[in-house]
Amino acid sequence: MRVIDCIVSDHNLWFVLLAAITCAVGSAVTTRLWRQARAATGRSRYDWCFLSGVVAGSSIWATHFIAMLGYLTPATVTFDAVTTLASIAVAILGSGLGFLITLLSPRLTVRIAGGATVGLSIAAMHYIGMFAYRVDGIVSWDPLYLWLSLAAAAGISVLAVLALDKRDTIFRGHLPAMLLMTSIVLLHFLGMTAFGVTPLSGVSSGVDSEAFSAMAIAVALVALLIVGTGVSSFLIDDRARVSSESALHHMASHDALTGMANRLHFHVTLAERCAALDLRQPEFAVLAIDLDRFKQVNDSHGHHVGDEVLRRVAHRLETALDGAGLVGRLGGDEFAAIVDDAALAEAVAGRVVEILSRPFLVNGMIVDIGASVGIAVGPRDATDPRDLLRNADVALYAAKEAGRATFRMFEGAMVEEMQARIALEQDLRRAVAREDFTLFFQPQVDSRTGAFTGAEALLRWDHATRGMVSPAIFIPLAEQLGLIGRIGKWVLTTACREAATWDPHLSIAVNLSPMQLADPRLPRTVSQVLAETGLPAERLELEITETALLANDEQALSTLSELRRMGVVISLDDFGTGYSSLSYLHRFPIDRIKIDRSFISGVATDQHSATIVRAIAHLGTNLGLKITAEGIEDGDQRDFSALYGCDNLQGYLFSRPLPAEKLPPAFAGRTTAPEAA
Amino acid sequence: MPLHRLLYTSEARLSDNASGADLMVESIVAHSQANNEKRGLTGALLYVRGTFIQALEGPLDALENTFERICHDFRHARLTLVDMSPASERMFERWSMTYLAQNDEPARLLVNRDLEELYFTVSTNAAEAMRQMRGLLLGEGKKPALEVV
Repeated sequence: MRVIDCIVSDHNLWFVLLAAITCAVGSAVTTRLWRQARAATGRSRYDWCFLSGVVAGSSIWATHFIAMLGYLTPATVTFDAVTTLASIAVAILGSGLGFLITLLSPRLTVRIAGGATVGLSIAAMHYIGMFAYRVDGIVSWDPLYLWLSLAAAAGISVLAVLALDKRDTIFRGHLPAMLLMTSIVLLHFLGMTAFGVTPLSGVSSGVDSEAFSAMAIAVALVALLIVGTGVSSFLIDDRARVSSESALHHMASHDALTGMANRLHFHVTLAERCAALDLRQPEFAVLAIDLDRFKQVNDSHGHHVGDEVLRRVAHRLETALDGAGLVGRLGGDEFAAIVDDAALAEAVAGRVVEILSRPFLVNGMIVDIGASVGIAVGPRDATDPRDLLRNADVALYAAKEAGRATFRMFEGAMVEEMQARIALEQDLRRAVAREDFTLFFQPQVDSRTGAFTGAEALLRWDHATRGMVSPAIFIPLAEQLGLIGRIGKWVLTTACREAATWDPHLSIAVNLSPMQLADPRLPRTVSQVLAETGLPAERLELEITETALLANDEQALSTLSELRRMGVVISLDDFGTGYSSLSYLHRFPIDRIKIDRSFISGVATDQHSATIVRAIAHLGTNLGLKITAEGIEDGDQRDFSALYGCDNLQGYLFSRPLPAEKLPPAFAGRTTAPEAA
Repeated sequence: MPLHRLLYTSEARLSDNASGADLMVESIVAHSQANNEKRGLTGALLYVRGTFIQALEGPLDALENTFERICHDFRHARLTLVDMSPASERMFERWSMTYLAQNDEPARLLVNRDLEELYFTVSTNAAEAMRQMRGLLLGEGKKPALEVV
């Protein structure tokens, strides 16, 4: 009660209020700085401790000083300057040291020691300050309140330290500040209660109140300046942290090379978009974008050119999107976009395909890439982000299948098509690795004598569960997968090895795919195979198609010429079905043409077919070429073909394609074709 | 930096009405003149049968940047780079970007014919096409382009 009495009756309440405000603000700022010190590491921890000490010490001192100015004493008062300054130094250093101690170790005793140091520094400041307070009168001290003030200051400061680590929900983290303030205030007024002055008689009482007020305001201002400095240093640090945090966030969510959204950012945005689907948002689209031929750019021009191309691709994609949504780089040459309005998806995809089909000029080089795009629409095609991306990928796959540099919308049927194709691909790779193919041989006969002249090797793939797979399906696939070279070599080797066991007058015809012909190593491969199998070159006939000549006729010409020089016979297959350009017959070293079965089947019934067969046979004969008629099924066709100059015949009439082991008996058994029934 | 020259063609994806198209071509030409002047580029733009034929020459960096910017422009459709190679000297040094188009005036029959011929040369022989362009522009007495527009 004496304390309250002391505050109310011995003090000017305005000064008390000003002191309280100073103390409250100072305590709050001190606590923030203290927390900052605790969060900091290394040298900056000492800096923050010092700053906490400066703010705490100034606040304590200002609180004390302002309150002292409001202390109504019956005697004249002056302040000793040196001691007053010493008191603020003690407050700053003492509390700073206290804060530092609390941070030294998480052990309870250490933290208690730190808190006590802070509390005792408050007390030390107060009592040193009281020495500076010179009053013309007899001063008395009440030891009870003196000790009480020390105990309260130390104890409550310790509580403030402990509260710093507690998560308090009631005071929203302000508990330490409130405790610190309580400690300062209690110490001051307990101390003042202990303090008593009896004025000497005959001496004028009181101080010049105007000068006192001016001084109070000046002190308060200086103290607030110090506190403000503390606040601003905290804010500066906070802002720096926020900006470095946002820089970190940018780094984490953006691709370093292109500066566009990265995989993480894209997935987060897509997930948000999917989550918003419930809110009756309009349909949106996901675009999976894949660069065509990008790997070759890195391989042939180096990574620095590849990186520059990727940067420009990113920039072009932004242009193609034109604000219609978000585009990101998922990694490598894989990009994706979210188009906010699904109605725009195809237009955007078209722009993406178009803009990336345009060349890139990098360091004087022309880089041609391209892009394929798959589109999936949410929620129509899927509502889950992963499913949407997967469906967009499926559509992308379909776009690539369709020849690249185009886009496709997802359709349910694409999934089965893709799965079927992937399964077939895997089976084919396995078959190639195991050489799981067989060769059948269809004999050919001389149209004049009926004697066997040789056979054409036909590739068969008999899959365990699929059954016979047509070459029309697996050969194009093998070409796409780059497996055709291995298959071709296997066919050539196997056929030659088989033929080497036949009578020396029998020849073997082997089909070449356009890709094999385009390979400049073909002549070397052929000569190796001939050497390995011991088959004379003259007994090998390589069948090519016109399409093989179309693609790269210079290369084809030199390859065919070399094969011809080796003695290998070249024949042009399926003649009459393609361009049937007569210039090929003239330009290329061709020994034989094979008239396609579609014409032979019609010779008896269709005047046009008959005319074509006659014309081709006539032309070939006059150019000095040999002629084979394929697909002879009956005597009429045989007779017609023989009559018009086809010197070799092949077809079911003579023999179906046979497995290798049945061929020698067939060759030996019948050397003449049966008459038609 | 060595001099380079490129030639590209594109189809104009312009607005439907003819006067709008003219305005757009004018804006393209004016814009490219201002830019080319700054970047040390020179060149010529022809417009035949709805197709732009543009030659552009200058320092490699500026040339590549400008071509990249053209690639960002969706007013071009079917943009095809016909030729891009180092050049020992400029062919269009007089013009930051000059423009010549077919029109219906009877007096320009010969120019129109030459433009038609160029249109076909471009796809077969880029170097010859650029020589023809230069000859045609000199014959037309095309002044430095900025004075024309």
